[in-house]
Amino acid sequence: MATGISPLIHERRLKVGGRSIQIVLILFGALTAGCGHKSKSVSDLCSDLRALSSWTEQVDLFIGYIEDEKATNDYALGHVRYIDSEVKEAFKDLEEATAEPQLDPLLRECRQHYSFLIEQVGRLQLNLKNPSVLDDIKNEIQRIHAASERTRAIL
Amino acid sequence: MKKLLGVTLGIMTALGGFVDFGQIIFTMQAGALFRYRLLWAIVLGTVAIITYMEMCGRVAVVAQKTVFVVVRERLGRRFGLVVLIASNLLNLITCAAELGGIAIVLHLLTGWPEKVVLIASVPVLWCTISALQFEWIERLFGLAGLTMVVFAISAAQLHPDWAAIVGGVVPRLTSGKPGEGILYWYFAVGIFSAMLMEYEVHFYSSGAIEEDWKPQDLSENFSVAAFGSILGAFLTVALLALGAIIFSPRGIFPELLSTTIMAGALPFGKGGLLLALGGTLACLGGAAVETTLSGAYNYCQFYNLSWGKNLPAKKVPVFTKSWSAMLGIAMLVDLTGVGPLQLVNISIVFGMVVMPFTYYPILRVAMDKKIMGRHLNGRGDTALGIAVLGLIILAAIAAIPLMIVTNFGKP
Repeated sequence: MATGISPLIHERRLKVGGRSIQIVLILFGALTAGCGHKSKSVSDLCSDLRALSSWTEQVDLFIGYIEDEKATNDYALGHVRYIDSEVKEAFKDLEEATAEPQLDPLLRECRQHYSFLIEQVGRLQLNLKNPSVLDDIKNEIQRIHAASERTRAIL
Repeated sequence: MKKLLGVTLGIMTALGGFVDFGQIIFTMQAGALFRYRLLWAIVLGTVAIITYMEMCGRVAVVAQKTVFVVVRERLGRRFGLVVLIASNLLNLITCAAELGGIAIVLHLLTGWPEKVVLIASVPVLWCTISALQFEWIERLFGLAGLTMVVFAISAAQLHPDWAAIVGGVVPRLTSGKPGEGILYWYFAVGIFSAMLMEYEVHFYSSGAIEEDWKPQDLSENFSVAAFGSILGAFLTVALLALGAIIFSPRGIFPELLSTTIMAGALPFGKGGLLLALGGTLACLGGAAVETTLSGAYNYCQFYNLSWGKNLPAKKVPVFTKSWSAMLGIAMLVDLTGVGPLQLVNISIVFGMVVMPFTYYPILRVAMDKKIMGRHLNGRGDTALGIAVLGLIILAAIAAIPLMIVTNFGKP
């Protein structure tokens, strides 16, 4: 199936290839652009609080799963580290974000909820095999969940 | 027995396409947000991929033309090259996402650092592809991927709402949730796109040539395409159901592969968890191999260079270097720290935009009596092909605006 290529055809192919690569890269760049930070709107904050509720529920579900002794050690530790990393990333995003003056107290509240969650996920990492601490973390997580729902209701 | 094992091409193609990193998370997110309301998109995607997988298999067997030969001939060399670059960029992004997913699963299995298992897994994949003939690659990943059935068993054990499942087959224009109509359509387009990812047809048509199918094997072509796709769709429905049963009532929006794996093992003990991890690993491995090889197939076929997994590496040097490079570059992309989920989101939307330029040439050739002779499309095939292509074009137009408005499907 192989064919011989003359230098002229090869040069032309390279030219056409170069232009084609440019077109594709421009399209690709356009697709991935626009991911920078911005001022938080009401819907952004709603979305952040919804994500927070989702994380608290995930942690709650996960604690139930490890309490039932269904998780292997490596899985449990790996999973909680992934949660920790994601929540910290969301918190970092919130720390860098700004909001209009009337939304600023709610942004600060949102940051505070995330910070409490990070604290509990950190405790969880250290106490995966400690049932009494797990129960306490579960209660704290439920409190954070309720508080974030209250903040969301204000929005 | 050989004929029975031949179905593994369809299984690997479909599992690698339907149940890859993106689809596992994306489908569970759709189930979590809209319960069974997007099941119709899976049904539509299944019909569409069977239609085009069968068509490109038939074109490959009868005309001995694989997808990128058809693309070059029908779209011209210049525009064909744009499609080639876009498709291979897509293959590369998807491959990087799958490798990232493999590293996550291996980390969850062993506890070893993610980057260490990533660097270790790539030579293992390279050796597997190098050492095995095409048939054995498809058998290994196709059959190992069947362990994903644990997700379906898990869904069945958790008592899904069967009436809602049946109701979900009927397409709905609205999500049923106020203010989430655009998000609903983002997920509908995403599910449809993920089921039609181009690398599935690149791999399938090349596989038909690798396996030396003859026109007398064409009846099997349909069963292989249909069986593999229906199995993939069945598992995709199971993922959607798990999202609906476990995550929807709790308001969880699953963003982690480890969360979705837990859903697949929730009713079982540690054995179930290991099976879910193993099944996911097999599917991600299959998808990584599929995208790696597809990149090399596409390049060699477009430039009419020698290719073939069953030929000695010395006889197909460009092909061998191409797939090795795909694997290596994909690993480097992961090592830069880009998250696999971010890569998947880009590949699903980007894939939708490129899709019409892959499927349109296949349809044209399959309708061409001069090329296909008595094996050309029947009226039904052509009507279905045109209808599916129309949907693909609509979805391609909508993909980017939906992505921007929903911020990559963030609720």
